[in-house]
Amino acid sequence: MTNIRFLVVEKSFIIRQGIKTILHDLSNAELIEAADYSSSLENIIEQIRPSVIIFNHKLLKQQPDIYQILKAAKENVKLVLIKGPNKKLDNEKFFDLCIDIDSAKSQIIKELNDLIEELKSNQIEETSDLSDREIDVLKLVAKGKSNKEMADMLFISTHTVISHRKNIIRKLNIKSVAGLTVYAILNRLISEDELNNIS
Amino acid sequence: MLINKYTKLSDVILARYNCMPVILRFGIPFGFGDKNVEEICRQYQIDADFFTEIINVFIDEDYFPQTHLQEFSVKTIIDFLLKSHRDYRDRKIPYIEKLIESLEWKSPEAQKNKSLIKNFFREYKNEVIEHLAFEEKEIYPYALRMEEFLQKKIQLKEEEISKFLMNSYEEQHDDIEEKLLDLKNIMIKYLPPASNLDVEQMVLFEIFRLEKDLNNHARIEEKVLIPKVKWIEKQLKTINNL
Repeated sequence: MTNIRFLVVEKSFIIRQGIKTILHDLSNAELIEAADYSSSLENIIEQIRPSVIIFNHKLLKQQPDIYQILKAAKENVKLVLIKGPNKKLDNEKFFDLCIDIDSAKSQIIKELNDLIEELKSNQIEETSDLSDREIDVLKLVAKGKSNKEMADMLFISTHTVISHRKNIIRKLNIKSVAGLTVYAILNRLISEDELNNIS
Repeated sequence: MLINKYTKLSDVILARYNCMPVILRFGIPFGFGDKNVEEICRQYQIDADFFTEIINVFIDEDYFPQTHLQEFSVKTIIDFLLKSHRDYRDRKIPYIEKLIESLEWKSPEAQKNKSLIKNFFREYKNEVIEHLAFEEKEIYPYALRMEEFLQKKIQLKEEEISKFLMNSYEEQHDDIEEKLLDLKNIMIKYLPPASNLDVEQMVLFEIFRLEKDLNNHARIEEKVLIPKVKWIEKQLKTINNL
């Protein structure tokens, strides 16, 4: 399960730290950046691809159409607004969640957990099982073949080889060729003798 | 918590024991009594401001050095970094190697796992040693040379200025933790469990610790050494333009 990435846009250091503490208590939540208004939001969103953006209602006063900009910057992003105590805002309906700043911690955690559950249910649960083709590529990686060599041997483009490799790395969480080789041996995809014959 | 010159050294360790190796690297043995950082540093002839900054970088990931970087000489910084290098090379890494060597599996078939892990770790070790050697041979002497040029107000040739290293070093400051992450994943997820689980657990503990320590070390290079030398490069350029 990949973590849900949160971006917090909040000028106040104290509130930012408060949000950080709350996110710390949620499982599967990962705080990516606690940005200030001053930085260019669209660029940050482009870089970190958050699933949820939390920000202060004051930002709405500065930029009333901010939610449109944010929604446009990333598809399906969830917007969470932090509003003043007992305030009712006109444009609340544009947000996926509005948190009252005076809410109890347990209440905020419950609301955010619901949001995370919703996001998780939309995610396609990914298994770490490799496809047959990915196993073919992994075996060749372990044998020290280059992308070009693999492409020729498997009759696919180097581009496809690279995308298989990316998927293998993501699924196994092993990045180095040496690490992938160990994995291949442990799972008997390749024998040590085969490796010794190469070197 | 962050520390300052008036914090008792014993309190520092009680609150954040992960800074112990750093204190050791500064050559400070236990038995501090109630002495504070300033008193201990005076006793061992260590720059107390530098010591405070280094400890804070180690205990708080978000900490950014407050004191003017110009106050510490490049030599002070590098002396410390070299001590850390020695610690990784001569103690930390050999210790993990020894632990891996004592891992055991019941079946002779599974014993092969040991050589797999051993070889993998050896590759990692060579990578780290190469990385440390590069810094010791290229980067640190360069940084010291730049400091000397500035102290002597030496005017550099255009050509020498074009060879300034810090920007490219900062960009390429490569990640030597990748293989450690892989090793953790392999051991936690894929390796058949060893029969002496306690040793296997110790290996993992030590890997986590080494990873953290290397991270902190890299942060000192990135937040203390690099900005300092970049500042020197800038001054040297200014001298040159006058």
